[in-house]
Amino acid sequence: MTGAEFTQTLLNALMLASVYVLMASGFTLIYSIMHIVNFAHGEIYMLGAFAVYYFSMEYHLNFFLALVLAILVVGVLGILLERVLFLPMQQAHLPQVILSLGLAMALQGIASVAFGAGDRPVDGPFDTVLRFGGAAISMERLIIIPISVAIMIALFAFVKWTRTGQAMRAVAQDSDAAALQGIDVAFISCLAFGVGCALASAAGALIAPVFYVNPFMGGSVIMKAFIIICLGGMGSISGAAVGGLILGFVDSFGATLFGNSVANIIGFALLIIILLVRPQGLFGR
Amino acid sequence: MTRQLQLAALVLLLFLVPLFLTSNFYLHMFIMTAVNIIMATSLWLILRSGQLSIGHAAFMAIGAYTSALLTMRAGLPFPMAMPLAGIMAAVIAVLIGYPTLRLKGLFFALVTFAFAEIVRSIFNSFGKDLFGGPSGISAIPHPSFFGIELATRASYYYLVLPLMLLTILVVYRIDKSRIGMNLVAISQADSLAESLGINIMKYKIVAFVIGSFFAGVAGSFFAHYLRHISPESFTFWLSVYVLIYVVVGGLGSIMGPIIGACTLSLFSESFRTFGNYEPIVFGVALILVVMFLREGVVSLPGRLLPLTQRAGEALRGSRIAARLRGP
Repeated sequence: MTGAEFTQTLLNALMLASVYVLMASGFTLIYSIMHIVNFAHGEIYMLGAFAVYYFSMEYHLNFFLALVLAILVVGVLGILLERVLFLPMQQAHLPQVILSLGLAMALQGIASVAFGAGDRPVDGPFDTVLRFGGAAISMERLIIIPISVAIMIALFAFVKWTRTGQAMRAVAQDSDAAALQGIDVAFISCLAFGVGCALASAAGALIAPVFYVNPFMGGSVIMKAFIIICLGGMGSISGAAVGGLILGFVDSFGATLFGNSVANIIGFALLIIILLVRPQGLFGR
Repeated sequence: MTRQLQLAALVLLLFLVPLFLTSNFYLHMFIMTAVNIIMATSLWLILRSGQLSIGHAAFMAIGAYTSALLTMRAGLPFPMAMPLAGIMAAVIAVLIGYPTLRLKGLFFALVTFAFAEIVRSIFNSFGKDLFGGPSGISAIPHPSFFGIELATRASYYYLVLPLMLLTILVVYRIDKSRIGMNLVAISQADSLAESLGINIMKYKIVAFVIGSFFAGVAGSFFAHYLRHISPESFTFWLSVYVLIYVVVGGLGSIMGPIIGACTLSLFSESFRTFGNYEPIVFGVALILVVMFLREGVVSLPGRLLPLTQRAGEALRGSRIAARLRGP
């Protein structure tokens, strides 16, 4: 691997990792509060990408405005989905997981009927390509990194310092005890699902200019989210951040060194091994 | 006795189907339904032990590739290749089940999911001269028994029907035996079952291995019936479809997976022209059943019967009241 190749792979790894971290932190947030693995999370990501496609390409809004709108719209959709589908079956975690499988299938079907199954391009906000020492990266790829970092800092600050964020952490620790303290657990669940969906939507919207948008794009990324939350420990947001970074590097360097399929298999093998050896995740207690 | 007579009549009727239905379209529909029933019933046995598997398609894929390669590369006759395909799936189920079956609920589901993806990636990208890469294996030979080749739809139907009945019979016998009772005990309260001296790992493995064996056999049939397999034939969504058959039908009895697979696959095969809408219908059906009919479609008669009885009683009550009130 030459120096230029290394820089190139490193930049791609950081970009991939940023998207993975956004995706997985939403996923793990939902798990920590509701104890469900939301199989429809990949489809929520796909809806985020379509939202940014429609706002920026069909309604010709500025890309960043379209990004914010996509996050809001899909976040609200998440809140509605939680209220209508998941709230009525509280505490039945495994049926909720099976329900999310049905939701994933239905959303994918609806998207391919409503939007068509073809690939759609989204124009990024910039069309410049930066070069450092033989490596080239387009601005639209590079911009993903600071935006994701900003969103993650905002998420950490929200969970750490706001009263609602503290309530979320309380529910994650022990929902009964939290309810006894007067926390509205149903409201917190709903909010967590909405925020989780908004994060997935942000990931989909940011990746839209890099890859094409199509109804099936959620499938591959949900698998990455599984691996990440198992690496980082189910339910831990900082675990999701670290796990996302690890998988971004494994994927990017693995694909450059051994090819895509080996990188994929390494990821899944990691998942099985972690679940068997350290089900609490690499950094969990 | 009447129940057994009814069953015998039903089986006889199933064997007579090709006499009435000569159209290839309908026979294909029945054949695919039978394959789905084998998959759903075998998955049901695994779910019976409380382990949620969302990678059942992987064992079907293993059976399909094993059978295709054994007949095409090793020149084995089909009657040997099919059981070997099932055994291959069962052996791999032992290897994967032994370390992972102690994981519960969500964690086991994630492992089966990852395992199925690994299997698919291996068929997709490794041993390309053996597995054929993304385009898979084509021109798989027709099954032949001692020189007699099965090539017509009706002959395939007569192959898959006994396979389906055998699967149902074996799974039914297991469910009604001590093993079945122990499986239910494990799924309801595993530590209690263990404290009563039930070796829970042993029973979980038995269920997992037998379920995977029949998935492998179904894969073998599938490969020699469609005569073309590729990694795309055995995606995650196939596993989800099989899970939908079981959950929509109902987990409570063996009638659940049979009825679920029957109704949903007859539905999907007959509405091929609405292919685009199929995932929506299946997804929504799963959501509705999970939300409102947790015991599945088989519980409907039991639920509706009291309702109609109550309605009848209410009606009779009002008539009596009217008579008491006098004309």
